Amino acid sequence: MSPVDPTVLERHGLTSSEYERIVRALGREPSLTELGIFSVMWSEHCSYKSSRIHLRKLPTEGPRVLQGPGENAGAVDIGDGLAAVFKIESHNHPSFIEPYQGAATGVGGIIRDIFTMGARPIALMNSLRFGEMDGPEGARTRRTVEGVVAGIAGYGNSIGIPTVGGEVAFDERYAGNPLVNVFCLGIAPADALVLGSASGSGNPVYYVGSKTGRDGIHGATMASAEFDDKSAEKRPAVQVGDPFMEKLLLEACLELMRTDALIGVQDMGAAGLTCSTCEMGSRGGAGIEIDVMHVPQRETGMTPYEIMLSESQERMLLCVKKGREAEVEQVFEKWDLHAAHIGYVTNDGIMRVKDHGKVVAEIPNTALVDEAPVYDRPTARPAYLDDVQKLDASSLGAAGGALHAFLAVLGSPTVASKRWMYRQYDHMVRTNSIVLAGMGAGVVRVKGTARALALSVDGNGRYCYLDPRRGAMLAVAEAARNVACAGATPIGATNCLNFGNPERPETMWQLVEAIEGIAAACRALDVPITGGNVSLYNETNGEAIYPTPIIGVVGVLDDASRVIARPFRGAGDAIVLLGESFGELGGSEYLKVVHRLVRGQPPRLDLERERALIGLLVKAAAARLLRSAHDCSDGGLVVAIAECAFDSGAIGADVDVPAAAGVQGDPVIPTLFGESASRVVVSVRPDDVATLLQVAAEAGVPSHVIGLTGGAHLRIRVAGSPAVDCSVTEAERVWSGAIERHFLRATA
Amino acid sequence: MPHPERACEAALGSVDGLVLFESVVTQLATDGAVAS
Repeated sequence: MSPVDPTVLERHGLTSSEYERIVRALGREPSLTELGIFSVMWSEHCSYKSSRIHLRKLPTEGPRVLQGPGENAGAVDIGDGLAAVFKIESHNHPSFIEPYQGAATGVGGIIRDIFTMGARPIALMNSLRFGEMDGPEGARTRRTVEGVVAGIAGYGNSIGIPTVGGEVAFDERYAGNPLVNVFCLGIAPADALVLGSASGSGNPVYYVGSKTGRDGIHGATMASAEFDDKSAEKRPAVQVGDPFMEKLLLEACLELMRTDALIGVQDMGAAGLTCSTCEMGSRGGAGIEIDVMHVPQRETGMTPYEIMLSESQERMLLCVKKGREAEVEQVFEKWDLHAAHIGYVTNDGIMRVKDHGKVVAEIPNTALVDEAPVYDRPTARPAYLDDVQKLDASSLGAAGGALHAFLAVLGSPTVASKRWMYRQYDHMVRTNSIVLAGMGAGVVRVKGTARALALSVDGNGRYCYLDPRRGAMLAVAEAARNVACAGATPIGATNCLNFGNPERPETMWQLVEAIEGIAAACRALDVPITGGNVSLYNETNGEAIYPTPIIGVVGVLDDASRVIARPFRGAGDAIVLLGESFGELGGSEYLKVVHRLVRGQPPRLDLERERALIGLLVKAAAARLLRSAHDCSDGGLVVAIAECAFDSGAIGADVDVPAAAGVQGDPVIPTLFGESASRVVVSVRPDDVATLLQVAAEAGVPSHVIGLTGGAHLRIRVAGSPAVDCSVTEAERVWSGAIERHFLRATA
Repeated sequence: MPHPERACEAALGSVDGLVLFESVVTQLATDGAVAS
């Protein structure tokens, strides 16, 4: 079989022009092993070939940034000589094929990225998208939800890292392609970040961790292709996770990093041994030579091709100083791990793979990394936009009144409590979680300091479908606002870009618009992007997901004791709305749930107003003016007010909200359910109201006292007219049971 | 049942677990095993 056989190329996901490029780079025809190595390194997943030229537009620098994109994870300075190391990554394709292991190994992978930087992982989050749990695809979706949530819990709980929060949304557009984005945060000494590079000719290269099997071969190429009905046949490409092995690796690596014997380390994630070998050599300006004979193998008769492309989990590649081998081996032996010496660093810049001494692959690192194809793919504004952006609110018709709509939106799984999920996650292990899952942004204190870190992951695929640029900006704004609601100053961000097939100009247009939107919002809000991940080809049978950029923002709270959470704290507090309502129903949860419509323009976003609001929240929290804070997002103002009452011990609210500005006709529905950005509902002691309003005015943030906490009801009026009156208990029952009921029924 | 070690500080939401550890220390001190 000649490697140039078109079916061989197709199986490797390479085009014939990419093959010609390989031949040019090598100056000869590649062997099959070399072809396999090129195919994974040049896959979309590893090379970012469609997105790279656009990712350069993202702001990646700032006074706090210690490590920007390009390493295993990004890092920002949080004071006290410490760095927050964090990243978000997707595991969408594996989670569709095998939900439990797909999600579990996603968690394992992102944890490795964090401790590889020399950081101790202290918190996990996730952002999930599923199909609808009702309807024709409901049964399959429920199985996927169950598997993914159990996989996240199974890995995170076992390794002992708390899952402190996240977000979940449901839409039929994700039925054939769920999204599983996982985020991890770690803490490292700011002056001792460990990089993934190998250097110093003659220095030994070690392999440590699980043995290599045939699992996950071509996982990276799989993540770079669309799905079809035959995708189940790809099942063997999903890896199996072992959190107990990873715990040992984590502890051993952190211990080794405290010595100065280590030069660099990288985990073997996508594209396994291939990617780690060539990237470590490339970053250090060196070459690496290994012999696959020394690679610990779980199965017999594995070929060099299989060993190089395996994506078996929980494996690390390390470069250590020559002469320190015994010390390194001792650390791993202590943790019951075996470090195998598989090769050494060379000075020729070549990745050389031998099998029992015989060269089976010999490729210059530059050919794999720097000469990887970069595409400026054509873009075209999708034709559907003109139609879907039109929304005539007056034609919506009657919908059973405000109370009916209120309960319908509260019971929508996207809005409803995610308690059924986070109850499965250990969100307290390590005893740092000072805001528990579901109560707002995740907040973990940093032991040994007075500080805490607040984390939020956000994104709205519907908004991005209607306007990818604005939708992406809104995602950045929401994540930053959520962090500020906890009282923390947003200091850094990471992004996970989930899109369809970039070879379609319409999808590519969405991707470019979204990246530019993220760039603009991150610049305006001073949250540089320090790393992330791009997941393309999220399509099944030619139908793409909503374009879904997910943004994770990390914020620092200098005094952990000033943290703020969502629930009301007591009766008799004033409820204040910060920000202004414009009654924007475009792309809202209300339209989707009540009218089955995904239309209109997503809410406008004024980045200066958002910036002012975020500054105000941080200042007010530091001055202890706020008792609770919760942002208005999915479901609008009425849902935000209700959510403040939930988990508070049924503290109700009696409010009269001003009619939304600029609304034609009856203002009730747009005021209650419009999803205008840059709004937060806070509760304040009566004595502090005047001060808060003054601070808000100084910050240029509109503020309205809209009512009082207390009573057992949610009584909500719009411009004096009664709109919703419902007992907190009843509303909370609808909200808290909407997801759970699907699984109680399934097990009954 | 919540883990008692996770309920020893108000910042974590509860101090109900603290009594367990205080009781251990008190008993050990009574027995002379540790200084109170």
